[in-house]
Amino acid sequence: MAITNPLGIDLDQYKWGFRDPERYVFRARKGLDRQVVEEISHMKGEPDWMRAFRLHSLAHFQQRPTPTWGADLGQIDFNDIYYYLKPSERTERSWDEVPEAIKRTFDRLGIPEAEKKYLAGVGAQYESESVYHNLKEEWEKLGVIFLDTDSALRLHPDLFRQYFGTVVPPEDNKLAALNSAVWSGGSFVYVPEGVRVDIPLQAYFRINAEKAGQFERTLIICEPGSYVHYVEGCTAPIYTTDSLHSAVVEIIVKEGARCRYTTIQNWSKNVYNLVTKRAVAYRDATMEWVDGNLGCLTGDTRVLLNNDVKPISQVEPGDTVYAVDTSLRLVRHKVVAKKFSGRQRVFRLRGANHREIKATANHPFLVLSKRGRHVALGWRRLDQIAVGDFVAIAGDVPDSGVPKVFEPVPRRGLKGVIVPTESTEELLWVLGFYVGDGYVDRARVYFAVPRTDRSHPKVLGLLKAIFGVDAEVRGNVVRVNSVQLRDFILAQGFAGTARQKRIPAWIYRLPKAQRVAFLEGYIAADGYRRSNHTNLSITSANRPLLEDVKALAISCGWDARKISRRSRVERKPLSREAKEYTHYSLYFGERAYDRPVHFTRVAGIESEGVEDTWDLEIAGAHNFVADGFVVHNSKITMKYPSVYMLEPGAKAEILSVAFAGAGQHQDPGGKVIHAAPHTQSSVVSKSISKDGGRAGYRGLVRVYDGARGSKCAVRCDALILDDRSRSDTYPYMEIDEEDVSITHEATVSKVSDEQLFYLMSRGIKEDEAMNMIVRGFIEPIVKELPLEYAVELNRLIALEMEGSVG
Amino acid sequence: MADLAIRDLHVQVEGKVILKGITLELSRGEIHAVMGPNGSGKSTLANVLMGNPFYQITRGDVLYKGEDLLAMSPDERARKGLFIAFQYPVSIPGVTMASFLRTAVSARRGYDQELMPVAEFQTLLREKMEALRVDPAIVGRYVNEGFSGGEKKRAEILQMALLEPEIAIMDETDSGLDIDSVKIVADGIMRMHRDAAGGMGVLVITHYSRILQFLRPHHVHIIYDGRIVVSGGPELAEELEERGYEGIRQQFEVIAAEVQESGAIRRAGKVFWVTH
Repeated sequence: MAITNPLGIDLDQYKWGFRDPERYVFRARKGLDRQVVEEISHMKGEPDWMRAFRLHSLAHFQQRPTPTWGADLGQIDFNDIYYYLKPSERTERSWDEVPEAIKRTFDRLGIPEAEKKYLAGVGAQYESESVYHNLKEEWEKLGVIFLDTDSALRLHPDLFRQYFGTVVPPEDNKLAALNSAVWSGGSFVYVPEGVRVDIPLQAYFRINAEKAGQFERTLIICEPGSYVHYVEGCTAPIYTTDSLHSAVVEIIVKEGARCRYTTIQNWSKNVYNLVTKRAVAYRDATMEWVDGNLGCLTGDTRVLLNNDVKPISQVEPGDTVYAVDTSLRLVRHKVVAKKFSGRQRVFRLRGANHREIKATANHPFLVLSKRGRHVALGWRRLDQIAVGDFVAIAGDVPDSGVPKVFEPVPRRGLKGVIVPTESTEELLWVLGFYVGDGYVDRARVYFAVPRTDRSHPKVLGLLKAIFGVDAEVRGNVVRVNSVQLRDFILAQGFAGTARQKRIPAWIYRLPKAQRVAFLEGYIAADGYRRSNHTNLSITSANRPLLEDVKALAISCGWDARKISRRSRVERKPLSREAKEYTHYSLYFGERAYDRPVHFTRVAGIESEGVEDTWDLEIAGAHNFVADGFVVHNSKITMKYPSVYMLEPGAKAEILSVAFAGAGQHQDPGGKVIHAAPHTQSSVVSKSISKDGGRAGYRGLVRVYDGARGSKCAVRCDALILDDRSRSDTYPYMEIDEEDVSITHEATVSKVSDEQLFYLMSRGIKEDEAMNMIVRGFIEPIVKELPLEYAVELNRLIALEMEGSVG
Repeated sequence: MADLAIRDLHVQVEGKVILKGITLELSRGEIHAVMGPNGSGKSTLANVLMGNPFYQITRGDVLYKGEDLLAMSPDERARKGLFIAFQYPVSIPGVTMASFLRTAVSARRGYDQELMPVAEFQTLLREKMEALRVDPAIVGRYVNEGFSGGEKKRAEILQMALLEPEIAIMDETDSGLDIDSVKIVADGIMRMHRDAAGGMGVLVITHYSRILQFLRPHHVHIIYDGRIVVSGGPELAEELEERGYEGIRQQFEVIAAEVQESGAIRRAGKVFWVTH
């Protein structure tokens, strides 16, 4: 089903010369149908069988219901994704453009030169070729094939066809079907019989260094007696511009061969990953999966929750936020976790519409940018956004508010009033007006609205209609002599003097019409429209109140802009004193933000110093609306690697390390399937949780009837560093054969005071002693990694322990 | 002024009083032995000197070269030159002896941000292992993990040799060792004591006097029920060997009874034995 203006952007508004929709850089449309798939196949120049395979997979994908496990997938609308981007659309930059902070972090992590450039997204093709040229010659001589999957299909079609889709067939699950239909890129590794590849293969060695795509397909074939170690660590760049990353890894380990696949999560947590990783091991073959599991807004950033607005530091897991889906609609998702990312350098992004947000350099925003004649829409880190780019902002948020039901307020004193049971637009207007011009004392409620004011009759009328009172007019003030009314107003959160009043939280959760009524009431009191009626402004000495009003207005789709400050110094008559009066003004523009997502030009990005920063992890989406901007955040979800032992003597080993810091929830796992006699598997998981983090492990052991003489040892060790943190282990075992040995050991430990004292008694400082003990804890896994990764993982752990990985 | 001055130290743990006023002075170049029966508070004294947070100090102070030792964290004390060879060294899985030792030596030698250069460290390590006849294979093993009792004790001494402390506290280093091992260990300590620039002070805490045959002390103190009840020269150790702790216990009980009767306050450190 073709959609012609997929983004729904009204381009004329932006006035930078973009007119022609055909200039859009992505040819493929949003949505998935036969035509898209055929285009993909056609653009790649694939043989017919592959096209047929893709179409067959597509059909299967369309038939299968969306899986119900995990809230993640339930929220994705598969018709609203771009399934293919040509390589030229990926952004390239030069090493000089890479920010200093990034370069320094690379240094700190000890990442080798060529790898730095690759990770930074700098075109690494030529570099990698020159550096690794000799290695590649070696491999070619041995007959080892190491290419990207697209090229492998072209150059080795028969070999490819023999194995492709045999380990993870399209019918396996919906994601596999999806990947099978639209796959592009990934690694192809073929190791001939008896050949041992001594140096770990890493994706950036590939001759054709295509960057990580959304739907990679990796295929590794190990002929009998061969050995190879593949490292996924370098494939993903620091961050991906893609919204859904669903890869498939298939590995075939033939008789007596050995394959190890290592994943090191690189230090940016901005990749949303659903990967199906599966290996089959034949007679006496060994498969090893090694997984190492290891980006931020300032605390006052207001996150748009489900009709509520809260500073991000107060958002809690379980809250619902607004996020932008791939068709630029605003949808609601749950917050899964919140993380305090430490004190970091932050920058202020200023939009031309005066919206502002503070974020760290690596925080991605949704950006529409122009590079030469091309327009690209994608996520960009703050430090890659230029003045003149357009960033996505939230416009009209869908209304899911409900009127508030009020608790009864007992009558005190003589004059009773009708106390409303539920909020209405009229009531909200009055309350808004109250915030601007109202106050109470012990027995009365006052509205400072003179007779000449336009709102005067309305105030009187509404007080009568809602509360049933005849208010008195005394000079410039309308007053109601009712303690009960006073109590009611205070009970709803409107206590305080003019400088103290804030908008109570419940107002944000109201239906839009009521929120608008509240704003209009407030504006009737404190707002000012200039005589030409085009620009509204509100002036108050109470800046926090104006910030509240701004957030509320944004939630109603209003064009709330800048808050400016003005001071004047007044000299009191007859005295030497001069007093400074400061007031603030909130200005509104006239744009109607009637679409969910709009774009505003970036007016400036300035350094703001160092602040506490936070990040949120959202289920099912990779962004949320904060301070009116659409910001990116996502998590790593790994589908659990699995090994199918199909013939006697096959062996599997899964090692994983997970680190959960403040507000994080790590949930790695592994599956081993014993489908033949005398097979062996070992699953070792080490998890570390600290600062309230939650680490877990899910292991599935499946032993089929007939898998006699098989052994499986599962070991989950959790290190919990303080009282607030948590670790969970979920072992699932389905054993259908009696003559087997299956063990599961789980240990939980904390860093013992004894161990700390011992190390400290040798002159080692306490935090270094902690680090040593934690490193010692994961050592059994670290020692299985190639040296440079071991070093990197150790440094990652050290950074995590410091709490400084953002 | 003594290098290490312990004054009227009272220590309790989990509400139970263990040390009831220990006063002791020790300087570099001196070897002191503290002997006592089980439960007398010997290990407590050693641990408290090193700063084990498990114990609470209720009264008294300890000065190290004039500075308040009790205010320092254990790692600070170590960097100042204090060392303890533990009775039951704890194991640290996953941390190799090599990396642990290198980190410790670097800390002692004042390397703040980096570690001591590998080559230099390895030369030093090899030298010390040879002198103590320690099996080089130990460096690849995890700290104290799977070590026999003897291996653990020798590993402690190896650490002492590498760290070159100013004052070394040996907490029952000889327990669980056969006589040959005891000799090797004692010889090692003696050599360090002799060769150390500025001299090394040793506080040997022991139950038996066996080690004192090889590691002849200048002063011997007997600790009983949390107090040092008698101090003397090396011959005190021999006498203790003959009479055993039973003799002390009997004397202690007699005096305790007297104290209760007469209400007189007896100072700790009163000489018990009639022959003295």
